[in-house]
Order: sequence, then C-alpha cells, then structure tokens
Amino acid sequence: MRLMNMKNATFKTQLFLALAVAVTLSFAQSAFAAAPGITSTAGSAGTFTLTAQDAYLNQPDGNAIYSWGYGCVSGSSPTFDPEPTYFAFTPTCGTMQVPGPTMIVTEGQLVTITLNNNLPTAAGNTSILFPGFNVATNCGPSTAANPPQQGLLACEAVPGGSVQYTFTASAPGTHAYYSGTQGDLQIEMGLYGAIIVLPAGGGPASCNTTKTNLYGKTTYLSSIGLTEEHDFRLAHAAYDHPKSCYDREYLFQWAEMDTRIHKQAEAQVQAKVGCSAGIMGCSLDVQTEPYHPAYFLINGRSMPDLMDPNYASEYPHQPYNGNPHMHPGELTLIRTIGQGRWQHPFHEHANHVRILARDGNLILSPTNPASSLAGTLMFNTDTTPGEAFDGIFYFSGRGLNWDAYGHHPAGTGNYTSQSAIASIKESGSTVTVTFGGNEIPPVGSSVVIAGVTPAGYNGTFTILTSAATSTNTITFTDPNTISPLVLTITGISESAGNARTVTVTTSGTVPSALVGAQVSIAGVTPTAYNGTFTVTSVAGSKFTYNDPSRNLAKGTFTSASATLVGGTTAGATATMDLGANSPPNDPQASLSCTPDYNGYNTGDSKALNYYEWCQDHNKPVQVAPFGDVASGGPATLPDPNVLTNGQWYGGSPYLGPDASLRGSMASCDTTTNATCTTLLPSNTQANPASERGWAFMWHSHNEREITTNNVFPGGMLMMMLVDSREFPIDESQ
Amino acid sequence: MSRRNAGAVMSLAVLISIWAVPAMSQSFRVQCPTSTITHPDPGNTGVNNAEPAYNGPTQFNSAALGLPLGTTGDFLTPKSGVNGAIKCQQVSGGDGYSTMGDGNQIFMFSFGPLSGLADIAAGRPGTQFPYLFNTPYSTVSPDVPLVRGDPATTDGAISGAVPFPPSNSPTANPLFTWNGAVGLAPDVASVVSVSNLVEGPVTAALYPGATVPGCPTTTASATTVTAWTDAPLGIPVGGQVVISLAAAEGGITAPPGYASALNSPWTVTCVASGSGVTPDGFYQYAFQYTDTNKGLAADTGNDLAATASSPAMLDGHVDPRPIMDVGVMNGSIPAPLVAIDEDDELFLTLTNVGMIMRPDLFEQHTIHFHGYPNASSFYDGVPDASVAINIGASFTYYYEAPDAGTYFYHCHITPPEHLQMGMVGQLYVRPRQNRVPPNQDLYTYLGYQNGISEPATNPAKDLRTECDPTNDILCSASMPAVNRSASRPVAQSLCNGGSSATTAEYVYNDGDGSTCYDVTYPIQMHGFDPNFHFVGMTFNPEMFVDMKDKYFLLNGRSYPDTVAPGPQATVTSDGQMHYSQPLPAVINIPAGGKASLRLVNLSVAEYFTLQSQGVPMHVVGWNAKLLRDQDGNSTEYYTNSITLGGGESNDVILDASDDSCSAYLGKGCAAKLYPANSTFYVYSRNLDMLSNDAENFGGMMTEVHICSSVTGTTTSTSSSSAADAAATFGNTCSTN
Repeated sequence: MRLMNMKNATFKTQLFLALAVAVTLSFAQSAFAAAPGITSTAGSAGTFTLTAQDAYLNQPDGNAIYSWGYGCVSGSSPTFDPEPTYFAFTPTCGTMQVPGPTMIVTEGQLVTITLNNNLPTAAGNTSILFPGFNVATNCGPSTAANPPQQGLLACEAVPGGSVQYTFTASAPGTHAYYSGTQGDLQIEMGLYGAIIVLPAGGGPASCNTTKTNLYGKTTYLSSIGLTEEHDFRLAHAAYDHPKSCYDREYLFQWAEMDTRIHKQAEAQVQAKVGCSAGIMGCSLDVQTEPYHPAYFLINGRSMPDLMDPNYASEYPHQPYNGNPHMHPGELTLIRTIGQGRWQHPFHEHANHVRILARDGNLILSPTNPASSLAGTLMFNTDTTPGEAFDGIFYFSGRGLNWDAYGHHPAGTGNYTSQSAIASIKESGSTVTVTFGGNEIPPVGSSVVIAGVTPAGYNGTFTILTSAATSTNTITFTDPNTISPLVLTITGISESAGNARTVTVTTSGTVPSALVGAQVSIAGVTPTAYNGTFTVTSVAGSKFTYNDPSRNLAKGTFTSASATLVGGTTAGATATMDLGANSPPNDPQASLSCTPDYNGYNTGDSKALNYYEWCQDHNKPVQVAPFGDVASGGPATLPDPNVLTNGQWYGGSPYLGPDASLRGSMASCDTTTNATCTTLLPSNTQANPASERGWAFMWHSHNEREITTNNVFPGGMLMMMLVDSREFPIDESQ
Repeated sequence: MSRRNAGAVMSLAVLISIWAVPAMSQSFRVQCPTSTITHPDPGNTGVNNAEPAYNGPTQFNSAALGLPLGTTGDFLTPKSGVNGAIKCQQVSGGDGYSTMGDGNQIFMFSFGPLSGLADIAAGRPGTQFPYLFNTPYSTVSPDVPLVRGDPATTDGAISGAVPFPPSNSPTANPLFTWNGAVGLAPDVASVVSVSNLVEGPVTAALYPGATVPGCPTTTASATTVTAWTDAPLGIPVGGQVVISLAAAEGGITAPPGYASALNSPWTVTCVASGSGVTPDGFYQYAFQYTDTNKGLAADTGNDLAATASSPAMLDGHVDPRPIMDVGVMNGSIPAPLVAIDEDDELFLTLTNVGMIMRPDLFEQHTIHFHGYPNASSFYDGVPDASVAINIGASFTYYYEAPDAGTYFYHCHITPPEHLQMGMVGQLYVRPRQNRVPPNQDLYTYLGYQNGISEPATNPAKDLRTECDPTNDILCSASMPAVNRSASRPVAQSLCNGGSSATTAEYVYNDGDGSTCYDVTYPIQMHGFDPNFHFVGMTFNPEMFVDMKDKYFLLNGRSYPDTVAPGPQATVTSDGQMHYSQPLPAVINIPAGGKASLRLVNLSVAEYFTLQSQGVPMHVVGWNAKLLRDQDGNSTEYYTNSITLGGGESNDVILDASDDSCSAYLGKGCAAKLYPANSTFYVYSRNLDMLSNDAENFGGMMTEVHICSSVTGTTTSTSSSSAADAAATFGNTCSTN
C-alpha cells in the first residue's frame, strides 16, 4: 500500500508485515478467486448436512474473534465444485466457517438441508432462512429426541438437536441463506452463507460460443507451449438467458463485525458452559445496539488476507477469498450478497456493472424479454442487507485512445530508433558514427544524421557497416570530404584585450567546411592553446576558435598541428530504421488488429492481443518516447523519479509483461547505458514481471470501511487485476 | 550591488543550496497541447479552441499509410469532421481551510484551482480550451504578479462565512478575470552569436568578399538584414527570430534598430544554404530577416554584435513561485469543478504543493476519475495500482472523454482520510447531443452516433460512439424505443420552446429529448467530521471506526450558506483570504424550465437521502448512465427523493416546467404550480443532518428559486458564452 507516514506508524508497520506475508504467499500459490462451494455433503447432489458451531476467525491485525458459523459435520464427504484438484490448497469444509459453505445446486433439483445445532447450549436454538425458496421443514409433532421447534421465522434446531429443510431449486440465481433465529446476534456472529442455483444444462447453448469465451479453444498460452487455463466456471450462464453468459465468476459476501458483540457472547458462553438448555439463565443477553463495527469483511476476511488463496491453511474458518482476475473482454459474473446489517456501496473500478438480477430474479425488458436486459448500469453496486444480486462486468480498454499493448508498426519507414551520437568522424569519405544503446540497424538501411556541426555531416545516408561492440558503430559514405585532415600551424595568437578568440594561421588553405568542426590543437606554448576546440570561422589560411582563457601570450612552437577530430555532436542524433532488429527483438510489437463487427480483434484466439480495441491500435501514448514505442501521442509522462510506485503498478501505461517491458526500455536510447535496462519499478511485488496486469481497486466507497480496526488499509478492499492473455489466470497451481 | 551585499547573498545561496539538495528541486509542469493525433491542428489554426457542432461521426483515414484498418501499419488518424476539442486544467493538491455554517473553520486536505481561477470563482467549471489555459499571467498583467490568495485577494474578498457583497462579486464585477495556468512561463530559448549585421543589399562594393549562399545579396531590400552567426540558427524560413544586441566587446556597437522589440520578433526570410563569408572575411553561417527600419549602419567587426534566438516558447515549463504563492493553502471544497464534452481530450494536471499545516507528512496525492469506463490503471489514480505524485511534482492525467454523464474525482491516497478531509470534486461529461445544430432531429443524430445510418458528409460510422446493446452489455444510450421526433431547440430557448437567456441542453444522448434541461447544477453531498479534521490537522492517530460526520454539506456549504451567491472565502493560517467554497448550491430555474441536478455523494461514512419539496424529481440517470433498458424503453422515473451511498451519482431533473400541469388541467392551464418568484426547498430527509454541528439548524439544505429569467455574465477570458454562464452557478435570478 502507500508509503508509511508517521500517522499510525505502529499499526501500519504491523500491517506491512502482514501484507508482505500475504503477497509472498500469493506468488507461491498463484491462487485466485472463483465461486467455490460444495454440491453435497454426502454424495447425493443437493443433499447437505450442516452444523452450526463456534470458533475463532483470524483478522489481519492479529486478533482472533469469537464467532459462530455453519460448516460440514465432521466425517462428511462433501463434493467440491470447481474440481478440488484445481486449488492450491485442498478444499475443505470444516465444522465451522464464515461465510458458511456455498451450496451449489441445479435448477429443478430437490434440495435437502439438515442443520445440526452444535452451538454452545447457552446460544439456544438456531435455524436457517432461505429467502426466495418455498421451504418445507420437519417441524411438527415428533417423538424423536431433541425435536425441532417452530420459531417465529423458521423451524429451529434446539441445542444438540437438528432440523431439516427441503425445497426445490425452482429457478437459477444467487441467493443468501442465514440464521432465522435472533438474527441481530446470530447473523452478526457469522451464521450466513450463499446458495447458487445453476441453470439446468449449464445455460443457453449460445453461451458456449461467445467471442469472449476461449475455454476449449487454443489460446496464446498453448501457442507458446503453456498449459491452457482451467475452466473455473460453475456453469456457462447465470440464468437461462443468453445475456447471462459469463467467462469467469466471483462471489462476494459483505458483512461487518462489531467485536463488542462477539466479546459479550464469548464471555457469556464461557460463563455458562455446561448449563442445560431450557433452564432459566441458560441463554445469552448480548447487547447488539448501539452498533459500532470495526471490521469490514468480504467473504469473512479483510484486506490483505482477503487476497490470499481459497482454502488457505492459515484461515481454517474463512476458506473463501476475494482476488478477482480477468482477461480483456471476458464477461465476468459478480455474485454479491449483503450479509450484514449495513449497506455498502461496492465500487468497481475500471468499468460499469450491468445488474442482471436481484435475489435470483432476472430484470428484463418488458418489450423484448427474450434478449434484452433492463437492470441498471452501475459503477457502485450497493450491497443491501439480505439481498443478493448478480451483475456482469468486463474490461476491454475501449476508448482509451492509446494502444494498451504498446504495439508499434512494423516495416520500413515506421519503426525507427533515435539515438544520441557519441562521436562522428570522417576519414576520407567514410564517416564513422558511434552511439549508445544496443540497437543494431541492418546494413543497407538508411540513417538520418541531424544536429551535427559541420552541417556537411548531416543528411540521409545508407549504412555500410554495422557492429555492436561496447559502443555501437555504423559507417556510411559521405559525399562531402574535408581535406586535409591535419593542418600545420604557422601562427597562433589570441585577440588583444579581453576577448577569447584565437586565430590560427596554417600552411595551407583551410576548408570552409571546417566551420563548426572539432579540431585538436597540439604542440603550442602556452599549453592553454592546446586541446580540442570548435572552429568558429574560417578565412583563407586562417581559422578561429574560442578558448576558455584570456590574455594569452602569442603562441610559440617548434612543430604544431591542428587535427580534425570530427563533428560536434552535442544534441546530435542518428535516426535509424531498425527493421527487424527492434530491441527487444519482439514480434509481438507489431501484431495486427483486425476489428470485428464491434471493433475488437477476435479473429484469432491464439493472438496475444485477442480482444484488443482496434481503433487505438498502434497509437502511442505520449509525445516524447517512452521506451521504444513510437512518439507522437498526446501525453507526456514525467520523470518517474517524481512519482511513488504502488505495489500493484505494472510499471508502464501498457498491459502485460511483453508490452510493459517494451514500453520501458528508454535507457536504450541514451548514451549513458551501453546495455538496455528497463525503467520498470522494482517494488511492484504484487504485480510481478510475469503478470504486469492492470490493477483496479474494488472496495466499499464508504471509505472508512476499507480499514481494519482503525488501520488503513484493510477491510472491504480487494484488487482486481486485468491480465493480458500471456499470463495464465490459473487457480490450479 | 556592493561587494558586501554580494557576500551576504552568497552566504544565503549556500544556505539555500544546503537545504535544497536533499529535498531535490520541484518538478512542476503543465501540459496543454494545441494539436494531438485525435485533434490535429498542425497549422495552429486554433480548431481545438472551440467545440465544433456535431454533424456526424468523425471520419478517419483508414490508416496513416493508406492501409485498410486491421492490416499492419500505422494508427488511425482523423480525416475530416473531427468532433470534440482539447481541454486542460491544473489543480493543486495540498491543504486549506473552509468555513462551516456555524462559523467554525475546518482544516482540509484539498485540491485547489491552479487554472481557470476566474471561472471557478464565478461558479463555473475551470476546464479551459488550450488558448485560455496557455495564456501566462504575465501577458495579461505584465507588471503585477499573482499574489497569495488570488483570485480572492485581487477581488478584495472579505472575511468569514459571509460571501462577499454582490457589488464586489466576481459574477457581477469581476476584478480577477484571468483563466490561464498558474506558473506557466515561456521556456528559455537557445541562442546563437551574431558576429556581423548588415542591413540592405550585400554588394561587392560595400562588402567585398562577403557571401550569403542561396540568399539575395545585391537584390536584398532595404529592410533585409543579413546576419552571420557562429552556429546554425535552427529556425526555418518563415520562423520567428529574436535579435538582442550584445554589449560591444572590442568592436563597434550595433545600432539599436537591429533588435526586435519584446514579444515582437522578426521573421526569417532566408537561411544560407552553405557557409557564407562575413564582411570581415570569415566563413560562418548566415541568415536574413526583415525588420521595419531602414538605413541602419552595418556592424562588421569580428566580435559579438548581437544574439539571435527563437522566441520564448510555451512548452509546459512553469515558474514554481506563483504556483507556491497561489497554490499553497488554496484548497477548496468541492475541489475545482471539471467539465468536458464527449469526444474531448482532457489534460488534467495535478500539482502537489505540499501541506503547510502538516510538514511532518510527505503526503502524495492522486486523481481518481471515478466511474471512468474502461479505465487504464495508469491514469486511475489508485496509488497501489499506479503512481502517486510526490510533493513538488506534477503529473498530467490524460483522458479521452468517456460517455456523457455525472462523474466525480477524488484523491485515492488513504481514501478514508483524504476523502473525509476534503479531496473530492465534481466532474461531468456533456453529451454529443448538446452539439446537434438547432432544429435538427435528435433521433436521427443519435442514429449517427449509434451507427444506424450516417449523413452523406460523414458516411463512415465510428464504433467508439456506438451503443449497440446487442453486442455491448455495458452501454445505455441505445435508440429510444419510441421516436418522439424531438428536435434541438434553437439557442436561448427553454426545453419546451419558451424564450430564455439560457439554452436547452441534455444530460445524455437520449435521442428523444427526455433528459433536456435549461440549467445544470453539479451538487456534491458530503459530510465533515470536525473531530477527525482536528486530528488530521494535528499529530494524533486517526480513528476511522469513530468517524461521525457532524457538518452536512451541499457543495461544501451548510444552509443558509448554500443559497448565498458567489464564492465563499475563508481566511487561512497564512493570513490571506482564499476562496474556500466557490460553489453555491442555490438552484435558480427560469419559470417554465428544468434544472438538471448532477448529484454525487462523496461521504466516506453516510448514505444520504435528498428530498425535493414541491418540484418533482425526474430521475434520468444513475452512475453516469442513462436510465434505459436494452430494448430502448425508458426506465426513468419521477420521485421526490433519492438516496445515494458514498461514491454514487445520479442525474435528476427538477421539473418546474409545469408540463404536468398541462397534462392534468389542459394545455395552457392557468394554475401554474411553479410560477416565477416562488421558492421551494431541497434538503436531506435524514433529519439529523439538518444541523451544523451543535447548531440544531442548517445542514444539508438549499433552495429552489423560480425566476422570471436566469442570466449569466462572462469575462472576455472565460471559456463560457453568456448562455453557458446562465446555465449554472453564478447566474442571476430575476424575480420581477
């Protein structure tokens, strides 16, 4: 996060350590989010046996907070979806987790949920509400031990007892489930979770062939020999509707936590251990108002823990994370549930979200419901207590007005490199130029020399030889010649008075082209006459130069000479057509972009720039070159030293490792570095060299909720990364 | 200067350099190009200094190399019908004070204006076309520099929470009228030495042996000056050259007539094609220019006669002194208003001047353009995902204007702190439909944008402006389901056709006129927690959990300050008056008209419900999107209250047109519900928010004034027309 300042220094130091640990873990595991859950606890799809129990939740400030949650009874054998082998950590369903196990069922399925009340006896009855479903229960006359009791809102399991709920998952969608017993306490303590109903058959067939969907096709990854990404979707569509197709999905459950409530519950439960249910005093009296939360949770975790892997072993009771990734163009389904008692304005950076449905009810156009949605477009999607919504998001970079991939045109006349000239000297009619960097123009291509004096050096020439050594050298033939190259000095004196003009008389005629050239004077006394100077004027056998000294005596010598050193190169440039030798030698720099009907490059699923917005193809970002990406764009970037880089900063205005590297090779064009080094910042640990994605913050815009117990950063905050196609978004490692 | 004084200055210089080294020097810069790839103006004709009418999509060369788009080649460049212009703005990041409704002065971390100062003070957006942004203050006021507190200081603003009197109001009688970029200064030019100067023909009789290859010699006119130089001039024929005479160094003094006057350079007429020979016999470079004098004596001694240079250029370099003078403690709430038009390019420069009250903090700042669709992380302003701007540095954020709508911006450094402390501003994008020529059919023109059919003059569609809900799930300005044959009203008329000083415009590209308004008011809902601000000013740990707003603000003001016209000034800890709350929140509506409220909530802690008593709220947009389903059906609705969470925006039209009166009572009904000279109220229905801290009165409330007419004034250096100025804050409500 940002650099630490003196405010809250101690807190921030702790958090930094926590973040560093989190980040390291992320590297090692490369584990991202999804919508993981279970399809059953006992092998028969749609059949779940849950338990409500207590445990302690970990928070990034080091606190362990007493909580209640739903879990799988010990000994059950849950079926996990997606594939357990996809995950870095073995999926688990412990006896208590917050949020509770995400139950994944299919449209039309009969769902049976048995809840065992294993909360401390003093906690009393508990239950589950399934808003949106027509639920049957086993409340009623019973001779069993500890039979369920009908509560106000739900059929409840008594301490040590159980209750059963059955319903048909009649329609697809994302739904909440949560305690129906003393919700102000039990939901606050963590008794909530999600049910996802998948459309029968996985969704409309048209969802298998959307242009954004590359699962099952050959992509850039396999074209360079990497393994294709796993398909992490639970289905291909959220609903039985062609506008609900998606390529990735994430589930976010938002809730806050007031530790005062948890501490009261913990103290009272401990004080009443062993009390008998139903006996006077064997109950809790917890003040749940005034409400003053200090922890703001997504999927039971706070930033930065939130971005650690699903099922990470350090969070045994908080298995689900929030760490969304996507490629450009991919339709991303955001399943969101407000599980707490407050609303949170969930701000998605980077684009709007189309609301598909609320509580599983699609919002469709009245005049064309078969193909037109009517949900709003939001950049802030409020999470409302108890409500679930589904939304579709994508990022494509459309309309940025520069090429996000840093492409530049290939071929002659386009991609050129301008290098500063270190030295330029003519011998006979052959001119030798040295310059910095490691750009190697091909022999036979043209070079434009500009800014050298004498002006005779300037012009467009054909490269004769080209060699990369410690400094690069090219030679070309110049129609101008300067002869002779060594002049014999017959007289040398400085103007009288305060002037610094030295007039040199030679034995022959001084070439007029010498004006502006560098000459080396040697053999004269006083020695202040000797050195390398720029010729300022020429007349017959004489020339002048300015020296730094004044009032020099007339020069004496036995043998003195003026030797042509070469052109004056301050500010001089050599502009070379590098052809195929572009540094780095990178065919990805000149990919093509063929717009489809919508303007995106979707012709070749193997293209690195699949789904590039073609109108901005090859368009540079700034006026002055940033690396080797051609100049001419609108903006000028400042000296990077006046800026502070973030940990998720990709290091350039470009997307992906290749483009970022190419767009940051500015030092290739200076004379100070013989080898190319990149300007990519080194402190971007959270966005490593293999990724260089574009990171966007997804967070609560009631910004005080992006803190953890008064420490920023924390709380309801996660970074969403848009990754180029060369970076596998792969939860399987 | 005496030797003794020189020594003292030297000591001071040493001291300064000791302090300067570890801190590095400042790196302030601004950017406002007059020509870009998207808005080319190679001839500098000024096409980007005005918003052209929308006559159809911008036409592109398929590619610069003539290749069809999609083949490997160059990038797209516009060919004709270029839409939009270039807009620029500079804001400071630093601190400041504002005055709450109970008189309490609150410390803020804040943005302040560093360009468009006069427009901001007048209640208008500070976003400028290049010709206004690129006007240095020295060109309008060569003798009197900007002073601390400007424009409030020059305007003579008076103290406290009371806005200064109308007689002295910038809207009525602005003393400070400049809108350029603070600090902008001409660059230092490169200079060559001139050894010889000759006016008139260069003849063998007068100057034996002298040559000027490729230039007229004997035929040179009496006002042609030939100058020989020690280095190439580097200015082409037709370029401007500044001649400055040199002190004679062992030679003769050239006549002063050779020199060009300040800001009035000579024009180069010829540049020698090879080495020339000076009248005193040396090979040198040479060029010629034309002056306005005749008969100047030649200077042919071989010493420095003059220097020649290019004119001083504006290239974005700035003088840091006025930036610090004006930028320090000039923070305002809301932050400077930004407004652009669809198809514009916006160059928004953030200059971090540091926080004087918190010298312990090395606080960076950023700008997050909240809601920008398909944003790049680079210009998204999230410090974790991009770059943050250090104290003493500038960064220019670059945006191609997104779809029309009400957005906003804020600093994204430690958001719960910097937003609560006040770094929140409003930003909106006006639709293409505002540029449809009068009387033209809105549905047809929306069809041009949406690629349905194109006019003969602009035959190729532009995919960037298209909203095709079949293919794009995230667009809303699709064709309306019903073509209502609405057309653009002529200038200076109401949405419903009546005459007005205002001009009807639109919030969105609706194609049916449903988002038409006559006046538009960006209104920011925000809250300040004075305890947190006190902590922010001092050196104590911040408690986010306990954050509780106690001042409830519309445009940074509580009632009744909300209805006071003109900017509100606060004297800050530097002893100067600063415009701390430039925007009123009073809603003036011409009788029979409609006011667009661009509502945003930037509180970091609260949901706000704003209620309109009397005038119905027509909700046309949410989160910068037109309310319309994918089949073109309107999902707009009427209400009398809206609720927004932090970071949310919506577009409400307060409909005082009495059109509904017509619907109920028959056309031309006598019983007008919203007659001129009536007042209505808009306030927070969270009743505890109608307070100013301990005062049980005030808070989040303002008034709606129905006016017989609403008029505006502008200055000669404002980017607004009078009709534009009437259309927002700083206008005048007539109630006769």
